[in-house]
Amino acid sequence: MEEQSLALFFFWLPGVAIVAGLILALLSKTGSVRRVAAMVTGASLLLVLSTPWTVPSSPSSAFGHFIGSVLGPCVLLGVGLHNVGFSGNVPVGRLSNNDRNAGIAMLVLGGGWLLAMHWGPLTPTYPSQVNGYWLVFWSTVVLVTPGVGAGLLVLVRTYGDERHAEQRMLGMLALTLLLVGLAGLTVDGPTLSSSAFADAMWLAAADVFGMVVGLGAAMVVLALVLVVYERQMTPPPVAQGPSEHDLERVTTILQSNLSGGESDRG
Amino acid sequence: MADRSSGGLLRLALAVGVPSALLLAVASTTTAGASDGMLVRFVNAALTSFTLASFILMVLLMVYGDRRKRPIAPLAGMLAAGLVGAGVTAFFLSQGDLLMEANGSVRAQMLSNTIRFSTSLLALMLTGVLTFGVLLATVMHRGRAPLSFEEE
Repeated sequence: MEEQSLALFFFWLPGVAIVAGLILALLSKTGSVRRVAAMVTGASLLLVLSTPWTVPSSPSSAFGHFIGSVLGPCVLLGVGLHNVGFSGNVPVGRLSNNDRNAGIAMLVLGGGWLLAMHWGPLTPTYPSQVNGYWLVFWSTVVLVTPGVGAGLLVLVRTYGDERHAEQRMLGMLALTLLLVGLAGLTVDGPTLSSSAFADAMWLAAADVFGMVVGLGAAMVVLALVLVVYERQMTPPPVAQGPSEHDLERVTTILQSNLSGGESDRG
Repeated sequence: MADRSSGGLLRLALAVGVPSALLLAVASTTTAGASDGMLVRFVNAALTSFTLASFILMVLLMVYGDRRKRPIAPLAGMLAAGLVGAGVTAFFLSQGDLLMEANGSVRAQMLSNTIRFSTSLLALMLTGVLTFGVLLATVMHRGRAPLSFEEE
């Protein structure tokens, strides 16, 4: 089978199945459909992850390698935040202190893993140079997170009462990622130079700005489509008001129920 | 409580924009900075995200359709928007080197754009998990406020 067909069967079709499976798993009201969708998503993810072995000659396989490279630290960060959060003051299903400590350890390990991918020996290289998709991913995270964290901090400060701890944590997150970004732009890694990271950051800025513009335009089109459609709908029939006969009947019923008769007297 | 006037919007915009602007300013000292490559990347990203978002919104419209006796018109509208986006992308990519990057054909460039869009989307999702996760974890670790009763 030629390379394009292999890429279609082992990368693109599973990729479409992942998106469709996720949508079905999240939106379907039928339990069996949700379970099947989750299984299809998992199997398709495995196929995409295995592309460095199934279609090594295709450029698409670099994306499978990238997913496999960042899956570990991302899962650690997500599960770590979940453990730390749900070991707090939650009314139901509170996790233990051991879970909380394990969550903190996962956060440290996940963060350290990502840093080691930049400055340590864990940089994803495929086949023999730095994986371009990892560079896109990492530069985007480092570029966007400080701004989002600082923006959230301003929102919490504006609309929250006595939320000092939340502001401190968001400030620390934003400052940490800002310092990581500045370090990446000034300190070379073993396989990633600061100038290459700077180039990637500029392209990441163009990517994010373009995504915002494109998504905004799609939302505007969606709103226009809905407005045009709703305006073309025929208005529902308006019910007539009560007739004289209806009013007289209501008056009679009210009077017979408001008056207590003989028991009202005395 | 902090001021909730219209200045809040300006503060929000500054908070979101200044860290990224600072990073890009430092980046411009170590690289050539803005170039033709950036403009090409921006246009490719905008066209790709418009096209893919239109198709995804079309799927979400099916949920909307459940409450409206499954109308066809909105679905057709978003399908048309997605097809127009794909057509415009293909048209501009076929105009020589106007929007082409390091890819040999229009199809390869479109597939590359799709993968790059997915990569950026994953990065933005990690950003969301980190920021909202930290906020949620901190909120849940606040001590419970004691119940206060007004004196009768």
